[in-house]
Amino acid sequence: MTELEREAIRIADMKRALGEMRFPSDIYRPGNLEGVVVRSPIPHGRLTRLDVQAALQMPGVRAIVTADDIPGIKYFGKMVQDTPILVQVGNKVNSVLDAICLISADTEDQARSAAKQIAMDFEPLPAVFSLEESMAPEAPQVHEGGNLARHFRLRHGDLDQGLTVADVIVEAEYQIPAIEHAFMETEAAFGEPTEHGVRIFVGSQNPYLERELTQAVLDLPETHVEIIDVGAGGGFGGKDDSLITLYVALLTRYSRKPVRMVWERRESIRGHSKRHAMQIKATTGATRDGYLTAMRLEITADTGSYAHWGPAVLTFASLGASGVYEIPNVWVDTYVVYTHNIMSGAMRAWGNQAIAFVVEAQVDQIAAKLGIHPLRLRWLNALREGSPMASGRSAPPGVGVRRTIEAAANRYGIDLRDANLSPSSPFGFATVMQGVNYHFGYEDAAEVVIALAEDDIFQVYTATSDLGQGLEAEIRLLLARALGDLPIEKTRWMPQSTATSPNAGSTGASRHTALTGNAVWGAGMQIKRKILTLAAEMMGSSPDQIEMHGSQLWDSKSELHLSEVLAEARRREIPLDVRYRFVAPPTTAIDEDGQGYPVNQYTYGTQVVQLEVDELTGLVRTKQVDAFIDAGRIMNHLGAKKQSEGGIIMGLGYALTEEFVSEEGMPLTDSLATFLIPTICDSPMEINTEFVGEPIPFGYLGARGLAELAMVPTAPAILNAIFAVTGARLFRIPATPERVLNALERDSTLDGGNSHEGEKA
Amino acid sequence: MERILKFTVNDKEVKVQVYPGEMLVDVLRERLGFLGTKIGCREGECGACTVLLDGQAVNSCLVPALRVEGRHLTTIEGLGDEHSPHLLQVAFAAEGAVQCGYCTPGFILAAAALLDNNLNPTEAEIRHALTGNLCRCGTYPRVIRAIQKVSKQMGRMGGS
Amino acid sequence: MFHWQAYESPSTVNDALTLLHDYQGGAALMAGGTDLLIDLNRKDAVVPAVIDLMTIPELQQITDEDEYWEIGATVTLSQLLRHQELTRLAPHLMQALLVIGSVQIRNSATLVGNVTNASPAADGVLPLLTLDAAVIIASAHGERVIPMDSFFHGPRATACGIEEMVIALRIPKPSLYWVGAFEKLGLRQAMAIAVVNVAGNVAWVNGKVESARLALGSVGPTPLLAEQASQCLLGTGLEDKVIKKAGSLAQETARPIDDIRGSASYRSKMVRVLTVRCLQRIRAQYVG
Repeated sequence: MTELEREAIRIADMKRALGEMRFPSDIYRPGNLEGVVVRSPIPHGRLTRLDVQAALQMPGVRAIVTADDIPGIKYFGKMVQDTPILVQVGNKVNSVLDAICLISADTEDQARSAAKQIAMDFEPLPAVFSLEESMAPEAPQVHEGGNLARHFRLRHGDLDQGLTVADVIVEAEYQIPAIEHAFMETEAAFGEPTEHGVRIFVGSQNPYLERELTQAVLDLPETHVEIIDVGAGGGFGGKDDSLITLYVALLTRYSRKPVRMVWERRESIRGHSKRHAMQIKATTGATRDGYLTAMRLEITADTGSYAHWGPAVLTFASLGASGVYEIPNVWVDTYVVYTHNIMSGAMRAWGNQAIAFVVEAQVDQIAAKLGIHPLRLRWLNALREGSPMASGRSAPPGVGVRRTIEAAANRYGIDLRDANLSPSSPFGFATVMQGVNYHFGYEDAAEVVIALAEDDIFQVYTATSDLGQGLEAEIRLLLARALGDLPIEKTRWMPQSTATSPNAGSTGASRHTALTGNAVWGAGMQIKRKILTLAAEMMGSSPDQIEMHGSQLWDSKSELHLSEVLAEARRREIPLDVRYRFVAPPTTAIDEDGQGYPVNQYTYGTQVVQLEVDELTGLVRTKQVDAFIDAGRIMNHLGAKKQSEGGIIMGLGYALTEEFVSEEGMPLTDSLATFLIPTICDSPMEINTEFVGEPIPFGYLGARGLAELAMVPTAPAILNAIFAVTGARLFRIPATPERVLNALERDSTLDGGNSHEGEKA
Repeated sequence: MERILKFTVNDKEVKVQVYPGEMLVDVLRERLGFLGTKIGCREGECGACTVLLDGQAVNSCLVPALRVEGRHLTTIEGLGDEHSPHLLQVAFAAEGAVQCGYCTPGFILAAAALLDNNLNPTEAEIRHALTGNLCRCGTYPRVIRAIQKVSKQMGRMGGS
Repeated sequence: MFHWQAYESPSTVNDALTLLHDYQGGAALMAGGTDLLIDLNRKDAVVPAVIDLMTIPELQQITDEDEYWEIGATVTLSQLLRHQELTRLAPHLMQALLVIGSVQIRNSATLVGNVTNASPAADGVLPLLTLDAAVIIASAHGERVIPMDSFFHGPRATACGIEEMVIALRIPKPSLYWVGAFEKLGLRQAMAIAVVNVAGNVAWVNGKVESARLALGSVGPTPLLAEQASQCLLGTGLEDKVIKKAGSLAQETARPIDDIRGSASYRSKMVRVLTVRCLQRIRAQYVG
């Protein structure tokens, strides 16, 4: 870890430690209005009447916006344009998230008092809240066309053949809950009217997308809408819905005054998408020597009231059915189903964390049945360079999965090559791969502009979202490095505005290190070339003779300080500004059998978990997690470690305590007191991260993002560790004390643990 | 009907008009501009609103503003600034104990209160003292390390 | 949103009682305020007035009244945790207080508030029950003392009337040698409402149990005294067999329900487990 790496992070972190970081919820202007959302009180019904007159008369009210007031598009969505921004009279509400109208007033209290005066009548309709209810014949339809949003199929090889040649088969059913993002800062946005349009400050995940939607909703040209992304207090995929931006845009436009909107925690939980709850049936076959021959997954997922990212998330996740393994026969059928629950969308790892839990549990059970050490079994089957994946083609170059397994084995003195290695182990293992960057043929590009300011500081202009993953630190570090290890202070991260900065794409898919990082590096290289060329002239030398390091340039004969070169450039009016767009290697869509090249890179990781189980209460205490990650070249070791640790803790919550529960479509776990994320007391005593990757052929940097991968192996490894320590296998997460105890009681009466149904309760 | 409230924030006396029902966190943020104090849950679960009231860590989202009449408050802004940051602020930044930063002021103040009471806390004591500060980004291991580092530093300095 | 219209800060108990009367049931009494505020927030409620008890000096006292200790209504959990003699007298009470919420909560919240909130899961209440504590209620007619085990009528319902207020708790100083313990099971390692909690207090004379009290939380509409379980300990040396029996009897006393934190059947099992653990610790402390 270099000084520069530490310094880049320290500078970004110091601002936050001083309490000087301004989040979207910290934006106020004198005289700004406060906006509130009036939502549907019922999960399914027809809005028959909406009367805002009484509310309009309430003190302090400045504007009330209904669906009829929307100038442009009234529906939007990631994949299907099915999400109403505001529900129109005569149309249906499909969840309690659905907004009916928006109110702005001088104070939030006044807006809320006015909200109580909104007269709305509904004709309630029968609703579906579970996968069973939704798929039953004659079930109430969420949308025309039925409750099946998407059926995804993957066919690789011959499943029946694969099962026939198997010596052991493991069959089980798994249940995965919906999850709430629980970012510490709730949704917030601030809009101000501009001469012709609006400017909105928001903590989103994609400012250019927010602009595209805002201009479409307000029916304004692109240049009349400016989105400024203000780093939010966490996102994790849940600030991708765009709704608060659109609500604030509408209120700002109609109120003609600045409007602030911040959601309280309960409203936040009700007002944004969740992880998909899933039921997964898995069948896995293997030969006596431990080679996996077949994998069949049948996945049913609740995408809630609107498609959102559902079809894409589930398709992406389904591709993970073969895990990190080379399995010749893989069949998947995935059903993405609508219900009247709050819509499901994106969250860190995009469904892969659920599939990984299933696959790693299946593989673990195979190992147990065969009497093979669980890590050795993984190693025997792990993909190699050139191995075909279930989607037909071989994995992208840099298949480092075996390295991660071997590193784990080394740490604990496990001899993977020993065919007689005792299978018993006190540890839980999981090895996973996470597809990164945009998939399915969608172009992945990031564009930056780097410009020299009057004070000799290189300013980076690129519009995207820093949600706390350390983007500013990483980009400034890369630029400083590209320019010969400049002090970090010589770089500046400019406001993420769509008016001043080009599009770096969204924050998601672990992509910024590889995409925006490469764009910054490319731009930096170009600037360096310009500097060297000018310096060469000044020194009577040639560019390839000159070294540039830490603001100094020199060749064998003379030296210059960078400021002298920059001054000369200014004097001669030589622009050092550069615009650079980096485009990732392309991917393809997949066909109706799931075949294609949908992902251009994967990051790999193995985790080893040590834990204790209180066998009388079922309470699990995680003691140690060791992570071994191949993310290609690591650009900032400190930053990467922080992501790894943060991911592990999120994965721990996923494994043991987190479950988003609703009843009749209304959140029951509607606060941080009932939706339980890990506290500092839940954090393991020890977390170690080792990076074992090598640079990959991808751009200049040879790096791939690990932000999502970091959390994926943890829950599988924890559940496998519970088995390792107690012999109890759980088929449902979170592994609450009660479920662990039930599994302990059940499995202690079974001999051998044959294939059986997963527990229902 | 508003009332006048007088108290001390970060060693400065302030006088501010508040509604009887106003909570301390809103007075600090919206009337006095101390935006370093954050709101995460309004139910005393997350600790993002932690301030020191007469040196004790409290959730300012659950303190009625009128309760602090005549008392001493410390917010993150009062703990240190750019020119003379508190040891904890330096340590959090140096140890990478910060990610999105939303929970950070609350953590630092809770840690400051801990070290005021206990100059040499064990890891268990640190965890217990910070139970009421939630972090979704998962900075806990580095937070613990940062506090341990400061505790050693303060020990060497003779607890000043 | 503002949860009250008027904010009253009386300086004596009588003033507070007068205000209660004046507001005719529309005023909420506020000690620490943590439970009250969370409740008002959750319900989006506005009450006509809140009566801040923190401004009444006599309620901030912990006083040694020879035969008993008296803890005023606004003494915070943190203040109690720092009190040396009470810690010596009732270490298991302190164990319970340490797992209520967080430092921030304990710096504001009060033990009386924990009692008057009357949640069946209240951690502070269980050790108090085993200490034979009493609640002192003041009204315009004077003061009355209610034993804690008669104070709870149902979830959030107590013996305290509309124009009455709890001004103190009374913890008797025991003449025998008592050893107590507290056990709590939550869904994560900290900051968790109890799934089940248990407190036990056992008086020893010459290696035999002279008197015992076991209190069970989160398994009924109110905290419960496990009378039969306590009875079966008398005259014994808390041998394994006895402890096991007490666990089963405690389990029979419990009346848990299913809720978001756990099922009735799991809670029922945990009553037994926690009771056994509680008694094992008591024995270990005495013997060790």
